[in-house]
This record gives sequence, structure tokens and C-alpha cells, in this order.
Amino acid sequence: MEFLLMTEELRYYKLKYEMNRKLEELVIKKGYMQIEPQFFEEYDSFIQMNKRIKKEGTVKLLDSDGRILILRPDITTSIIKHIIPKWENGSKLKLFYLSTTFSRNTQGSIEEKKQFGIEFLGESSMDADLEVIKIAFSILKSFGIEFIAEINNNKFLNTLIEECGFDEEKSTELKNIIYYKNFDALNLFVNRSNIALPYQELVRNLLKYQGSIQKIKENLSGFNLSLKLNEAIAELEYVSKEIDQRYARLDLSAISQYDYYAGITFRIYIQSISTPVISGGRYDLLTKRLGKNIPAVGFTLNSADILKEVLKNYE
Amino acid sequence: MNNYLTIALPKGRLGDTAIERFKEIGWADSIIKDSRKLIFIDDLNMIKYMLVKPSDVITYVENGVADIGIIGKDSILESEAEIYELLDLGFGNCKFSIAGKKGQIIHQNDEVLRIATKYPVITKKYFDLRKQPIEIIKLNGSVELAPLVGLSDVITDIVETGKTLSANGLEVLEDMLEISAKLISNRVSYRFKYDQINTLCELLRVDKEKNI
Repeated sequence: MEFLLMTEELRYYKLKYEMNRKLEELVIKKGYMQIEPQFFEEYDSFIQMNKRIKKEGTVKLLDSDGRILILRPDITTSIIKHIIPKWENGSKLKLFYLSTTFSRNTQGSIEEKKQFGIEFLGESSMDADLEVIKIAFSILKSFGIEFIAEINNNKFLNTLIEECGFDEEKSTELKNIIYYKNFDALNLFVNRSNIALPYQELVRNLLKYQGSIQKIKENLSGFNLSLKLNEAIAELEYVSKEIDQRYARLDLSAISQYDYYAGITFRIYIQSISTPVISGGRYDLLTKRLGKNIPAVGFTLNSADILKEVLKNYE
Repeated sequence: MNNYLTIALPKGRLGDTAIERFKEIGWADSIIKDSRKLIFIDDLNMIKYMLVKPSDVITYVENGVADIGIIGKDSILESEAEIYELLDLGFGNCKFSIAGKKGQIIHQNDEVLRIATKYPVITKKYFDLRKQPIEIIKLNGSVELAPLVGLSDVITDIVETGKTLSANGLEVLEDMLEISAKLISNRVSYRFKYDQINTLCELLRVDKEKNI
């Protein structure tokens, strides 16, 4: 931001400070404690864990002994790595952070993003998923911002991939197609792949399982779903019933670029901004890959986006 | 304020076909052909059409200035934009190919192959997969000239009829990709204007079947 007048600049920083305080107060009231994440990540392990992420988008550094490091592209990974060695089984931890992530844009310059987020660790029941989504909703409501939340249960797609017996390559291809909601490519994919007959149409229609829970069930009604797939739908239904439905759109094909989500995930959009303002979900797979099975749910919020909306309403 | 569905259409041949298709489904009545206007508004159906340079369609859609757009697959691949690719429209079909002088070898193994192109991203990806070292020479037009004047060994570009190539003594050495026109959508608009976008998508899908 650039300002012509000092008073304008000070007003901006005052609003920003107040916004951050408000965010903090909201989650502190719910029992969350602040944590400061590390700056660096190991390049190899990060890329291995997030296969579909664009490698060019990370900011790399070289250590004196030749190790490649990256400036944290996301905060969750770095918090979990920090927590794991000290984790005691059975404990519960509620954390929040307000810090910066780094990425490289297409022009090659480094971008800083201020992020606010919460992580709820050690709770495997759906109550944790619900609490996190509800906090996200209440933050946006408290700032008077209109939004739509896109909610998915990744368990559905992951189970489907497992039951179809896709290998790593096939599954990455399918996820890429779904990430771009490419109906025609999905059609081709089904025709080209060797999919068991009962699953062919189920996969072909993947992009149609969205809207309300009734709509999804209606579109799935012709299929004989396995126990695990039905369980995934039931979980999504449970969440959708407990939250403010006016703001929710369920979508079984709304997948994330990050592969570590395993369960309920969500992305929240506001009309004036072309990227999600909040994204999050259950990421038990990440903690498992990092060395310990810790149930975990959380979200990150792009605080610059919220500030932009706050400023707009202020003027 | 923003209940209008904004559609970015590319100027030129692709856009002309797109407008024809829109007219077939009864949508683009407000667009006057051969007018110099860049924006056409259909207040009855709450649609805004913008005519933009083909290579800019993606930028308008990705940033949400336009909710949806129509553009060739080549531009999508080149930009790697975060958009949704909702429908293959079944027109604007052509190939993305490597072309050069007759007999030019494209598997040079260790030797660096010099390629002139308007599409550095697609080209780099393709040759990276083959482990063929290349040097990309980015041009903005008339790429066919490059091999003739010794600027590059080969070119990569979209090829429709191949007439420009043969007129300049070049030929297709290898086809890389199939290209066609796509309906794309901004990710946020897809949520906020789902019903409108989905309706249009279905109408165009039905219309496409008719045109095959």
C-alpha cells in the first residue's frame, strides 16, 4: 500500500491492528493459543508430500552444506513439524497464528502473504471439523462480509480412487481433471481407463455431485455405493445440517491442490476476490506422513483480503 | 451490483464462431456484428459481453473481471491459470505441432535444439518430458520466418491448414497436442453465479451435439 498522507497511512495501520486484534480475540475466546512457526522447510520432503504443487512457485534457498531449503509456502506443515517431537498421545491442542508465507509469482518475483489461521489438534471426532468451520463463518459474519463456503469430504474421492484401483499416476491424472472441472477430459479418462463396470458411470458423473445434500443424494441415488462411500456422504450431511446452510455449497469434486487433506475440506469465497479468502479442512494425512498420527483440523485466512473488505466498508 | 454475467469473447475467428453459437441458443442478440464497440449489454437476460484480444481472455477470467470466457486450449495450457475448464465447444479444432524445414531432425539428444515459438511454457514442458535440451526463442508473430533466416532449428505453433507452413517451405515434423475452443470460468464466479453458468454450459453442450 502507498499513501500520500501520513494520516491516511496511520489510519490504515490502525484499522489493520484492530482487525488483527479482533481476529485474535475471536479465537482466544474459543481457547486457542498463539504459536510462531519456523521460516524454513526442506525442499525435498515438501515436494514429495505435495506432488501436484508447482515447484517453480516456491522460494528456494541454499544452505552452506548444499541442502535446498524453501521459505515456508504454508504454515500448517511447519507448525506440525515443530509439534510432533513433543506430542503426547491423548492430548488436545488449539493453536492460532498470524504470520507470513512466501511464494514466487509467474513473473518470478517473491510474494509475501499475511495469513491468519487456526489448528485444532488431537480431536478426531467431527466436533472439531464443525468447530473450525463455525469459527470461519463467525469471523466473516463479524466483519459483515458476504460469502459462500464450498464444502467437500475428500474421503469420497479418495475412497473411490482406492476402490477403482488407480495407481499413483492415474489418480494424479484424475485429480488434475477434477481440479479444473474438465467434464470432457473426465469423459475421455473414463473411456480410456480400465474401470470396473459398476464404477464407470459413478466416476463419469463426478462433477455433478454438488449443491445441497439433497441434490447430491439425488444424483447418487442410482448407484450402489460401498459402506465407506456412504459413510463419507453421511459425514458431509452431518456437517451441512449443523452449519448455516444459506452460506454452504457442498461439492464432492472440490479438491485442494494440497494432497494432505483427508476428510472434510472447505474453501470460502467472497465475490470481489478471485482466490479463496479462507481454506481449510481435516489433514490427518499430513501429520501421519510427518511421523505421527495426530488428528488435525484447521484453516488459513488471507488477512489482506479481509482488510480490503473492511476498508471498503469503512469508506 | 454485480448480478450481470460477464462473458469475455476473443476477437477474431474464434470469437465469431462463438457468437454464432450464442445466437443459436438465443443468447447473443445484443451483439451487433462488425461494430467497433467492445462491450454489449443484454439488460433483459442480465448478460454483459466483452470483446477482448484472444490472449487476454484468460487474464480477464482469472481475475474475475469476466465470469466466463471462450478461448483456445493453447492459451489455457500456456497460461497455467487457476480457472475451470467447463466445456469443450467442439469448434476451433487444430493441432499444436513442431514444424521445420524438410528433414530437420528433432531428436538431437545432447545437442541443444533451438525453437522459435509464441508458446514457451507448452514447449518447455513437452521437451522436458523427452529430456531434449532446448533453447527457446520467444517471438510474438510470424514464427515461420525463424527457421528460414537461421534464428531457430524448428518452430512450435498451432497449425490449422498448414498453408502458411508450405508457402514458406516448411512442414509439420510432429504433432504435439490437439487444440479446440473451451468454455472457461472464474473459480469464484462459478460459486456465486452457478445457476447462470450451468444453464449456459448445458445449452452450449446441447448445441454442440447439433453441430457435429
